[in-house]
Amino acid sequence: MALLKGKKRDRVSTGIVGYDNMLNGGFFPGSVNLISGTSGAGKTLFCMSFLYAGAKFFKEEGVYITFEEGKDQIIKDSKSIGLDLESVADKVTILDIATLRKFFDITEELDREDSPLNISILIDLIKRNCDKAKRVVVDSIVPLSMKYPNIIEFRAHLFRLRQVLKGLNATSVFTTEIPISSNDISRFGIEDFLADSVTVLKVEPSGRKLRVHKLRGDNHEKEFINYQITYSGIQVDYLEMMFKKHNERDI
Amino acid sequence: MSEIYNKLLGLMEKYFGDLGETLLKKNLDALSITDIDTTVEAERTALIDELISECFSTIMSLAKMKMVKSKLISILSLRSSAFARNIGTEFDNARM
Repeated sequence: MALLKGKKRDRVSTGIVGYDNMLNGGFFPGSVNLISGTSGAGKTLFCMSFLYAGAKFFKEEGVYITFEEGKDQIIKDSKSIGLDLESVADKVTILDIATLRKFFDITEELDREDSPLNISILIDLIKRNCDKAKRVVVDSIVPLSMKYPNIIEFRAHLFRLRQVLKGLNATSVFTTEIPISSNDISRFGIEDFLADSVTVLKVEPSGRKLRVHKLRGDNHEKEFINYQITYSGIQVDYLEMMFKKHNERDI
Repeated sequence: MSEIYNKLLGLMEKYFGDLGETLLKKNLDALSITDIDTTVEAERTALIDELISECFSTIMSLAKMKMVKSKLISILSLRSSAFARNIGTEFDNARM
């Protein structure tokens, strides 16, 4: 996997060439970032690229918190795009809440105070097991919403989660889903307000596209840009778009 | 609660917090273990394997898991001494 060294040294490289360019070098250190996308857009692989780059190139510990996809599947999927998580197993820990959820049936998940979907329980697990992590991923926050009867309560708990992620001395990413035909940038309309940056991933008949919707504290590329998920990682056509723009200007 | 159960619970809570007790109980239930103090070696081994594969593997690296497995073996080996103490008491009672 090719890696762009951050254009600015005060940025955290995402490990994805082109995407780093769109963000002017990467995420801000210590920031909480949202990746929002339709089904099949590659949200998990974006997150894994971020953790893998940290472990492989910067020797940073990372934690990936998964609620729906099991650990084995994530390792397998990551390998299919050239991210060998087993080679960085000493640096990347997968907090497999999906497997822990097996111990609870649906009623227990909703009713029990100690279900893994309770954000307080999750925060406790993060504090206990992620204290050395420099990169943290929560993928995705959607199952957590099941636990909360209304959006106000869910937002309050998400805010607590955000504060904990901020306090970890790590750069974090969390994901959310958007329906395929929707123009929304988040599932619940609240996640984007809690994030320092928002990236929207879409799968359209013409291909995969991404757009940085927001980046607190800096200017950024605002157009939709094509990307591909390949055997050697995610490739964002940022430079191609820049050349195209440049050539169009010349004409 | 027995000494062994409390030590197991302490280890679960160290890594899983409030979730620890439920996970321990559910794993004991899954193996139909009602009293940890009366388990035989095969049950203890199964419990260790279950806790490692179903719980600890979900939150830690392989290296850390090895450390926790040693700890589990150490805790559950207490059963032998507790068992030996009970047998010893029974033996003493029988003699008297």
